[in-house]
Parts: sequence; structure tokens; C-alpha cells
Amino acid sequence: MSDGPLSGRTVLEIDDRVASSYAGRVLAACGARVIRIEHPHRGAPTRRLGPFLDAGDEYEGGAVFHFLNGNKESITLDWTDAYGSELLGALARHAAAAVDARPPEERAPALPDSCATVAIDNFARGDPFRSWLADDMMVQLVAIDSGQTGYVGREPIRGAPDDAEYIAGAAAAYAVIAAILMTARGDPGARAEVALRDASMLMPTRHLTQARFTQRFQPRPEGPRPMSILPCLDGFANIQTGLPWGRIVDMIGDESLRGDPRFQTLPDRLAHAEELNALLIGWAATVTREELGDRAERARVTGGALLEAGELVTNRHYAERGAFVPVDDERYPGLRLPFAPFRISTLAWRSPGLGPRAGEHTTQVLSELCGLEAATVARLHQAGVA
Amino acid sequence: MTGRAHLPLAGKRVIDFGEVMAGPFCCSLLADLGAEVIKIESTSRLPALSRGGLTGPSQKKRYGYRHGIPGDRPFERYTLFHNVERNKLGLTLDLGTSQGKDLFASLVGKSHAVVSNYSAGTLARLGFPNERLHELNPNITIAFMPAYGSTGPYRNRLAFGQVTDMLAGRAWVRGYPETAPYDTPLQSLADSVAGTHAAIAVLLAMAQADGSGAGAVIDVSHAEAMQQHLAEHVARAWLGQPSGTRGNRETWAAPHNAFPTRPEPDPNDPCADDHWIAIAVHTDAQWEALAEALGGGLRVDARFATLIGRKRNEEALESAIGALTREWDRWGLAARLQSVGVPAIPVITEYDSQFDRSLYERGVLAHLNHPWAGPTDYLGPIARFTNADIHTWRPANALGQDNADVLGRVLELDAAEIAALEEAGVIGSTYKVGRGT
Repeated sequence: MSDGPLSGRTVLEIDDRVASSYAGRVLAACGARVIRIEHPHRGAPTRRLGPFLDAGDEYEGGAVFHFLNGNKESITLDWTDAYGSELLGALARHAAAAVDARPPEERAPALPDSCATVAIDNFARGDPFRSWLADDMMVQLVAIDSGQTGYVGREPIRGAPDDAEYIAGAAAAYAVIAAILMTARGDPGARAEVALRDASMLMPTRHLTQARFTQRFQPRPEGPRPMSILPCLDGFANIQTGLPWGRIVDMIGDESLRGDPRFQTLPDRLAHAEELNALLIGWAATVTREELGDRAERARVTGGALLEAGELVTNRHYAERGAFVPVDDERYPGLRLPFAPFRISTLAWRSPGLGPRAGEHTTQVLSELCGLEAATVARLHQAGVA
Repeated sequence: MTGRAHLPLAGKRVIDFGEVMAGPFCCSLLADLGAEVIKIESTSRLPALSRGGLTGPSQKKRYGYRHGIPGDRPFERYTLFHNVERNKLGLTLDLGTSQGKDLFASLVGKSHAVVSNYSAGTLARLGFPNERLHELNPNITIAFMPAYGSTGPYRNRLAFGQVTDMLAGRAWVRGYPETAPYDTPLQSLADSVAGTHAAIAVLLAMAQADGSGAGAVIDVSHAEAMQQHLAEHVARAWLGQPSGTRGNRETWAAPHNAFPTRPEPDPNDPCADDHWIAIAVHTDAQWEALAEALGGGLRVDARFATLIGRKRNEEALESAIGALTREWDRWGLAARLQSVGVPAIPVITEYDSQFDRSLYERGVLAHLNHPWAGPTDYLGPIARFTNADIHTWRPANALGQDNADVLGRVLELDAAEIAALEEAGVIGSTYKVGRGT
């Protein structure tokens, strides 16, 4: 393990939302010094996300806040104040990049060219919805995929809460690293924008281009596809039934089905969906989810358990891989949160501590990077600027 | 700054040794930033999910093909390949032959990264374990992205996005609350999320290798990338709180859902009778503005006066609002609600999105001419750089389209050597396997 390309680089996270905090989480874990800049009066939305671990946490942040903001520093600074804005510019002169989640109208004056910036908005410039009020659910429902998800007569249904925020956060981390590489090549001052809606639509598992390509636009389905989610002895599981029939027979272990003309091809199976459904449900009811997964693996069938959130941490696969790590605080024994989205053999993912208290590092950072004395910072605090 | 020579990955070469989604998407994101991405395909094995199930000509209507017609070269006209491949060069290599392996080894020697989303161990089984790859090129970054990672009990499990969604835990926290998980609609976001994170990891590792001279091995589990979205739910489970789906609803907002609107008189719209508006009320002021705009006695209904009341009576609230929104056109109602400060937006479908020209203007879509699929829409980069020329500039590669360029320019083979490879079936631009109509 050695220092990575983010080591020694400072990244500012200006204002707060899940997307910018997630970008900062990735950058901080990979070696950057990430300084959160929080507005002293408005507070930080990610601090208000439940669940809260202790009484009083609603002021300093719950589990999601700590997940997003370990390994970071926090200062408070009112960038809408003239002197606060000047201090922000001074901080940016020490930074390689900034992730800017402020409302667009508060982004002037521009940060110095030496500091690459990646702005995050719900809707991009040029999007007809640019100035519209929205939250993550609304963004998901205009990002093409979720608008098509669900069944006729029932409401279109979003994916996981905050999917669009996390997608944009990863896109912003990617953009920051690209911008830092551009600076290293002698092209500083990259300016990039990430929009939640566009980043979501640009995930290729979404449906923006597929119907355009075939020119076959379809209504939403009437109800669940047959053969989707099967009840097992201890919960639910899923298998893909579009595979060669012989593999599915191998998984079930019933030789009498091998030559069954109702199921030989996918069209055959769709034509006899109810019979197949009954057969699979009957079989699944005799096995546990893990047995189903193991038998599917041996038969080269795609399938596995539908895991509940509470089962993830103890699942044998994730436990062996260390996919969930303990929160580094004795107040929360046993609490584990997701570890890293990737492992790089030469670059350690820094294990997270708890996120910083609001303004915990204001004096230290303004002193170190802007040359202010502690007494000056105290006066700024009294004046509501810091 | 214009021109791709200035892009952050200009001068980097990446081998895309994968198919379907996560690996190819990662490589598209690297290509967007200026890397020369060489997509390796085999003419001995048809990747049916990516390039469809047909190799021979067919003019018969079939789902998944450009305008529904497979055409003379169906594998150039299948949806998924065009959906995820952009800005790359296409090279065919039969890695089952010793010549194919030698060419692959030479290419590894001249590249900065190789990305594979095949099952764990696939490259090793072809004769390229990590040690061999690093022997060929100590500087090369090797990225593996099997669905559940390269280690652990599930490392050899076959995966498909919708199954990964369940095994990763995401399916548990979405879907209709009253009937989950029986009828949770299938979704497969994990490939996309893993692809984005793999691109981040490759960017970091390649930059690190520039300094250290030592290439890294990267392991991206789709499930673990997807689980980054689930911290809230894991913590709720630890606290003993309900951790399943809450549908479109939120704890501190009501109403917070999608509501039906008036049918729209477009005979071509498959969702003409299935249109919706999303409304998210976070404050009492927004509630009052919504109630005023919708009328119907909402304002004076004491059950709905406070957030607590609206949450306690959420079924009745949603039913009352839905009865009123049905009378409205979704666009007109959304604009009206926005004008009085209520977050509301028309739910957008695939069909609707055709009429939004701004998607091209802001680079979300690029309309490019593919030699076999014709003029086609391609997805754009996930971040929009205003002072660097990062955009979708090349359509999906045709099979073996760049064989001569890559073998000649990069591997320095002459025309006779390239012709001999073609003759021997090591390279090609059609499939050796026949799968007709």
C-alpha cells in the first residue's frame, strides 16, 4: 500500500446534500483531505437524516451522516456574507477541487481557477425542469426508469430512497478525480456539473435509449412477471428462468421434467407460465434460500436470496469479505455500516470514523489555511459568519 | 479546451474484456475521459445478451432489434450493445488460439488497464492470471468485477442485475409497501453503480501506477457498490426499527407520492391512460398551498392540518388527493403547483422523453450514425465538463471494426500478417458460430 493520487490534495465540500457528501466519502476514503463547509444558520441536511443512534443526535447527525462523513473536517462559514465569501475564495486557493452543492444563485463569485469545481444540482442547466422544486423521489420519477416501474393502475414506484443522490455522488467523485488529473497534466480549473436527473438517466440499466432504439414503446405491465420472486422455507429468492431448461432441471433435481415439452424453450415457458410458476413455487418451498443459491450455482443458474437489510451484516459471504465494518465508537457496539464500493490492492480504503461535529474544525482550518487568529474566528462566530 | 488530446486520460490505453453491462459501462466512462479503449470480442462465441441471439440475416420482426428488424447483420443491431458501448475501438481476438493469446499478451504490454466483468478466474483460465499480466506489464491496472467480488463463498455465482439487486439487499427497501416483497418490480441498477465505481477505482489506480510503476489489482463487487445506498436501512435494522420498503412515502413529508392525472389524447402514447404527477410536501406552508390549489375541501379537513395528522391519515390523504389530481393534466397541474411553491413534477416515461430536445443540447444523448443500425441515440457522459471536450463522439463499434487499425498501429503488424490472422480465424468481422432465424 502506498499513497494514492489524492494524498496531499484538499477537496472542499461546499454546502450539503447526500450526493456531495457521498462524493466526499469516496474521495476522503481514498486519501484526500476533505473539508465540509456548512452554512452556520441553515444547518446541513445530511445531519437530519435518520435513523438517529442517540437522543440529541438530530443536532449532530445519525447513522447516515456518519457513514457519509467519516474522515472529514467540518467548518461553518456563511458564503453569502461578503467576508465569508472572501474566506471561501482563500480556502479554495489551497484546494485541488471543490464539490459545490450550493444553490446555483449562491455560486458567485467563481472559485479561483486553480480549484477545479464540480457542481451538483437536481436538474442540469438546459433541463426544462432546471428551476423546479424537487426531492430525490421526484427526480427518480422523471429519470425515465422509475416512471416506468410498477404496474398499471398503481403509482409508479421509485427505487431505493436516495438512489439518485448516491448515483450523482459517485458521478461527482469520478468528475473530481478526472479534474484533478487534468490539473496534473497542466490544464487546471476544470468546471463540471453533475445533475441527479441526468446522472440517473445515464445509467445504462435505465431505459432512456432502449425504446428509442427499437421504436417500441410499451405500457407498464399489468402486474408482476411470473416466476419472479419465490417463497422459500426461510424467506424469498429469485432465479432467472431464461436459461437452458436442462440447467433448471439440474437445480431442481427432478429428472422427470427434463423432456417436458411445456418448458423446453423460453417461449414454451412463457406459454405455460402458470404451470411453471406453480412448479417452481412448490420446489422453492422445500429449500432454504441458501440451499437454493448453492444449487443454482452448481447448476449454472442465476439465482439467490432476497436478503433483508438486517441479514446483510451476518450473511456468510459479506461477513467473509468484510463488506460491513464496525463504527469506530464504543457507544454503538455491533453497529456495522457498508465498507468500500471497491478494493484497490495498492491503495487502502481508509476505515471511517464518526463524522465531525458542525464547525468542529473551523478555528483550526481558518487559522491554518487563511491565517486567521483564534480571536478573529471567535468574532466571526459571534457575527454569524463562521 | 477542445480536442481529445487534452482529456485527462489521453494517452492511456484500456482493454475492455467484458460483456453485457458493468465492465463495458466502466470502460465507456474511461473512454469518455479520453482513454483509447479497445473492446475485445470473440467471433467464436456469440454474447446473446449484448449482441442478440442471431448471427445470420433475418428480416423478420423481432424484439430488441433496431426498429424491430434484425437485418443482414443482426448482431450490429441489438439494443443492449448500443446502450452501453460508446467511444471505443472494436478488436476481435479468438483467445482459444495460441495466436490470439500472443496478440492479447502483446496488447497487455502496451496498455495501462484491463477491465473484466466475467466471473472470477476467467482471465486466469485463459492463461492470464494476475502474475502473468504483471509479468507482461508491471504497470498495468487489472480490474475484476464479478457480481459478488473475487473472494468469498458467492465468488463463483452467476449473476444478473435483478438477482444482484435482491442479494445485495436493495430489493428489500423498494417496491409497494403493502405487498412487498412478493411483487416488487424487478430492477437491475447494480451493474451501473458498479461500473461507475470501477471507473473511479481504475482512474485512481492508473494515476497511482504512473508514479509508482506498479499496477494494482482492483476488485469491484456489484453488491458492495450497491450497498453504499443502504446505510440507512442497515442502521435501522441494527436499531430494531422497520427496515423494509416505504414505497414513495417519507417519514417527515406527506403527501409524498405519485398521483394519477387525466388521460392524454395521444393515440401513439402507450401510457395515455396511465399518467401521474409526483408531489412531495415537506412543510405546512407547502401543504396549505397544495390544498388551496387542489380545492375539494382539503384545506378545511382537520385530519390533514398538521404533518402528524397527515401521516396518521395517509391513506385517506392520498385517496383524497388522487381523486382531485385525476381531473388535471399532469403538466398543467405541476406547473401550477410549482408556481405556488409546491414540489410537484409530471412523471416522465420513455415515450415522453422522445419529445425533449434538450437531452441532445446538454449532451445526455448524442445522435450518431452507426454503419449497420443507422442514425442512433447514444448515452452521454455522466458529468458535463464545460471547459473540456468530453462527449459521446463515436457510436458502438461494429464487430472487428478496428482490427486493422489496432493490429497495425498498436501492435505493429503489417497487412499480410493481419490478412493471415483473418484467414486463420483468429480475427474476423462475422461470427463463426451460426445462429440463424
